[in-house]
Amino acid sequence: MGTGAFTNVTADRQIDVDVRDDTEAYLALQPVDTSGDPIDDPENGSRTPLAQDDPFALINEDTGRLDLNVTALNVDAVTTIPNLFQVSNLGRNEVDIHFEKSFEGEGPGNPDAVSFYRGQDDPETDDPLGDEDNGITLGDGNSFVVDLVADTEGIAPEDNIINTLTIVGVDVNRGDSA
Amino acid sequence: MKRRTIIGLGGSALVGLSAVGSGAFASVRAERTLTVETTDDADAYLILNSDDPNLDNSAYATESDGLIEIDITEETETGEAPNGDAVTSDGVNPFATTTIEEVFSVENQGSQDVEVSITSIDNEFDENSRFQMLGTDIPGKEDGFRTNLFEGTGDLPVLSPGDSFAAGLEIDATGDLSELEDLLTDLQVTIQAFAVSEGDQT
Amino acid sequence: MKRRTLLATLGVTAAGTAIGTGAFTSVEATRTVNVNIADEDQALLAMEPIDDTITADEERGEIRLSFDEDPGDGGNGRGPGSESTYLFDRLFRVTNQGTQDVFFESDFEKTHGDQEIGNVGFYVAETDDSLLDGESAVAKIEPGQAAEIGTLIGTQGVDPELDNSAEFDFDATITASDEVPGDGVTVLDNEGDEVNDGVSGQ
Repeated sequence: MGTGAFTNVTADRQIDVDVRDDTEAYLALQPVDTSGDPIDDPENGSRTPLAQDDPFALINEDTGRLDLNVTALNVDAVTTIPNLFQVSNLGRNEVDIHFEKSFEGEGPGNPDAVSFYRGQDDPETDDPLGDEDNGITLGDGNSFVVDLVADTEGIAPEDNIINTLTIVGVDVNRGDSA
Repeated sequence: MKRRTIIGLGGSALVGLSAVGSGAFASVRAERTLTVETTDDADAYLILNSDDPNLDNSAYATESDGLIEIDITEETETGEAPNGDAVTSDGVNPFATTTIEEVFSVENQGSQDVEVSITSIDNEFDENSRFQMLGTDIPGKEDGFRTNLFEGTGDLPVLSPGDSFAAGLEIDATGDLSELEDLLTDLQVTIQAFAVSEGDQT
Repeated sequence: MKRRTLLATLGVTAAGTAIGTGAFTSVEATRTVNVNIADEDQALLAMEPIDDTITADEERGEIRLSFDEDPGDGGNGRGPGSESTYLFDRLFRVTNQGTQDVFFESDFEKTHGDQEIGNVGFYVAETDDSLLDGESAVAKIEPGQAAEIGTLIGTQGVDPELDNSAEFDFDATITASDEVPGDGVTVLDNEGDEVNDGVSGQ
């Protein structure tokens, strides 16, 4: 009788997507001041040290995304930059958040030279924000501030360190319903 | 006027009668016995089979008083779920195009080749309407071949005696729905089979 | 002459061969078709929202996805950020209320938006690494079964600018058909697990 019946339903359906700048994204990122509060003019950025032209953190006017600039680190030193930026959960579920660091370019870079800590943690005793086992659980509507600690021992001036930080958020209940 | 009696003016005698010029009569009424019976669509000269086990979508065809009827309406039982529950649906999707092949089979139980088509005697739809009927599993055509069954379209199925094909339908339920719903309520579809090739025999 | 005509006509009738053997010149049979256009959540391919902050249903229950929360009262909106990959699990449920196994997939076409957007795709349950695009994967849904469909939104290549948002509209052309996909297309069951019974390539 041939290849069998062919039942086919074709339906066109509408999807609307509004891509927001980082201050309004479901996983929101924004610069904070020295007290750890979001600043009013995120495009002007948080404070700018004399040693560099750009603020530590700002929302790029053209891309709407958080840019981080830490471009004058001392070599063979440990530098702490507190209140670098804030992460907020503007979604509706509790999420587990972790960070992934990488360098893309010539050579391997030194991404391990840089670590991110939750503002209220103590780098002496607490773990940095890292892979999934070292993340943070963030309820919807909540935020945390991020500090940066750089250890440049063994790194020469002009060496490449890191250029990409990927922030990952996963619903705490994902994977439970199997 | 003179009248002559023709002997043997009856059934078989008429076949042999050749001297036609001599039989003058003003009229004749000859009553004969003629046996005419109708039968269900499933057994007729042109079988319309709602219950063909080889067809995947025969759930949508039913027989009512011997006539086939297509129903895709409320609570149509379509199949069986893995747990044994009956699966029902209320109809085709809105704002979508649905194609359902193999709803009923059409078989030629006559003695001549026939070409099968459909038409709308009330002119409610044509080959370009949002309701279409399609033929598949057509003898002499390759697997997967599908054709519009409306009369006058390109490649209508031709069935020799004993052959059959599967009829299905396609509903374009995009755009305005109320007009389409009127069309699809109690829609009358005329299925036609015309003998082919020996000229016009009507 | 009239009499010859009358005789000839009677002769054919009396021979009686035409009616008994099943030859027919034509058959025209008018039959009834009733098709209902169901609401989306009751149709042959039933679809309904699960997460109703993102999946809404409109006229006839037609589903629509909206990744755009606008409180509209002066409060800040929320939505996916840029240069990110977002997964939204279990936004709508697709239930096969038809007669056959169907293979579910979708194509996406951007209908509004100035920039290119990384990617938009549907996946089943939490199997987000196999997008249901008909080329890498499809979801097989048996009659009576339901699949919970999520959406991947990749916003690579999008620059919303500060205090602005970049709006995109897409047409998702959803196809559910019983045509078995070719070799090389992963077939997932309604829960997102790979089907390994050799179904493809038959």
